[in-house]
Amino acid sequence: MNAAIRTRGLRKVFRDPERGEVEALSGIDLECREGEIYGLLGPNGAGKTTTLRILATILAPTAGSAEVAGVDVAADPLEVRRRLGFLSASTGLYARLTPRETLRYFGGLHGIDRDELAARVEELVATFEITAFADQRCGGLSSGQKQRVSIARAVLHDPPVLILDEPTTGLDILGTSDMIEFIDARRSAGRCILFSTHILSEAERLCDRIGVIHRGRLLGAGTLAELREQTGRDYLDQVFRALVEDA
Amino acid sequence: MRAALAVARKELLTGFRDRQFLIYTIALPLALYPVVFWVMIQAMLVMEGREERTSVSVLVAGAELSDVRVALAAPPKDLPPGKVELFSEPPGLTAEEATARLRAEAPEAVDAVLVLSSAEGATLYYDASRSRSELARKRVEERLAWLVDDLRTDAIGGDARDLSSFATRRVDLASDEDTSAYVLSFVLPIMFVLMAVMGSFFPAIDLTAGEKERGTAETTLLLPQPRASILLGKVVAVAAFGAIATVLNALGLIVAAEHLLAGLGETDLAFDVPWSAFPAAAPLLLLFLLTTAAILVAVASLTKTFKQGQSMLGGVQMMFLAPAILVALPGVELTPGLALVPIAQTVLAFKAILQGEGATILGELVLVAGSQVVYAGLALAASLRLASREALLLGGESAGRLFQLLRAGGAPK
Repeated sequence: MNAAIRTRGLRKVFRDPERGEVEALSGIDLECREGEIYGLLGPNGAGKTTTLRILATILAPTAGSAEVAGVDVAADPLEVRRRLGFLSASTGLYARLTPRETLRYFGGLHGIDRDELAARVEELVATFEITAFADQRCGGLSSGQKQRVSIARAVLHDPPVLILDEPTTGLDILGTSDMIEFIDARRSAGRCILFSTHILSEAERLCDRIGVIHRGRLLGAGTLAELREQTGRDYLDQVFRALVEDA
Repeated sequence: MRAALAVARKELLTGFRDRQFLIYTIALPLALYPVVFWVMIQAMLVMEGREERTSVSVLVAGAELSDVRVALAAPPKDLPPGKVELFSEPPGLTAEEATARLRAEAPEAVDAVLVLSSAEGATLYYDASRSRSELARKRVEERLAWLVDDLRTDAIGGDARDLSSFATRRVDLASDEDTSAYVLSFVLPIMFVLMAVMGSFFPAIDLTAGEKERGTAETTLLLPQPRASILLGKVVAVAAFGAIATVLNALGLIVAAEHLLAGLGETDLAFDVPWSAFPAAAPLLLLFLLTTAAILVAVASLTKTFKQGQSMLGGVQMMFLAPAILVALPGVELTPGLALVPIAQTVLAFKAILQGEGATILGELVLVAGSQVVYAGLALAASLRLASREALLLGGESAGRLFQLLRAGGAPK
């Protein structure tokens, strides 16, 4: 399988007015393949969101390189954004647009042809069961409804790579279940999904491979079986702890 | 450019769905001036009525002249009405005594003291800091002037027409449009700057700090279009909101002035708006709106909450208004030097165009337009540079780091 996401020596330094230079990432090497769910596991502040934001071209790396669907994020960020679907708790919806208008707006800026876009919007509205509130303003929707619209927005252009930053944060049981089903369905469609989480059960259930990140460094990566073998522990929380303690 | 227009269209659509936008950009400009003018006129009428009903007391010293007493107490019908209550004093009242009567506590106090002397003529003592005293002065002067005219008429044999050759007849060569243009040239340029800034104020914050606060800044950054196009779309939307607010404000002001001032009847101001001046000034005004929008967006992008945005742009608003007010004063003309000064150039150019002097200062107007294009470009470049700073994309920064941020490297394009 080809690598859909690849980073080499990815480093990110922020300049904080109070703390000076803060190294958020210290040389991350990551590889996620087509048709694979890759879970980036780590505590708060480990560097998960920074990694994902660099891949989504929201932030620029300080050093190292990153490629999404074969395109370098620094060389051609526009093309990366065209090949990527990104969803996080902070990618909110425009409160004064309706779900249909949101999808049309994003589709238009993705350069999708008008007729094709109209058909695609209706397809997504039906697929994600948005019909009942498709013409209500997003600001008045429930968090579950917003989540469905956000997912539809992220996959509108059918990207080969999907990056999800803690996708189940703030969702209730049904919302979480829908999200897990959605991630699974994207894998079945042959897409690469990279998602960050600090919920061990989610990673254990969904991921083909897991990367454990802590203090800006990737401490270990592989299938759950490989990580168990590497650390000699059975459960993921023990695996995580062992990797952190060894570091 | 297509992407910028798509972003601008979306921002305008969402803007018009916001109640605050509708109130501040449309409802307020349309309602404000008619209401303010109506209240002013009503207040003037009430004051006029109250003045007529107010009785003033005047102490007349040395008033053996019964004509004066009659003229003061019972004026002819063509003079403004109003009762004057007279008190008499024998001749020889000194200035100190007159002052003491004016300053005395009620009931001895009078509103004015008129001392008549055949040697020195009439002396009127009053207190300009008291409204009743001021009213008493006005009535006494009007009525004495009428009495003097009457006495002169009698002196020449009783025919007032013999005095007509001494009367001055005024002939105003300015048309109503010229007069209106002159009056508007002092009001509209300042109004324009004020409204352009105020109309852009709220949208500039909403599309920058507002996006961060609502959690949609990251969503916008994911749009598969160059950040410059997205920023340009936002600036165009902010400029459009500024233009809408400005046009509605100007219309509200002109229509209210035209209809309500005309309703006062006795005013000399016959409003005939110089509409032809507006298309001539439009390119300069549009460039100013674009520059203003770019500056406000750049400054607002330094903040991360609506509240921070409001306090930071409040200072910027003053920086726009101060030069506008200074150069709008009578006597300040558009010179080649002033044609290069931001803000002042727009006010003076608009003022000159309104006064119909555009053709005579074409060179200065070309300088204004050229430098405005440069300033708009610089403002857009600075806005883009700031808006692409990583430190500002999702969070905020302090204004103190403004220049450092303008120099530093940025996020992906």
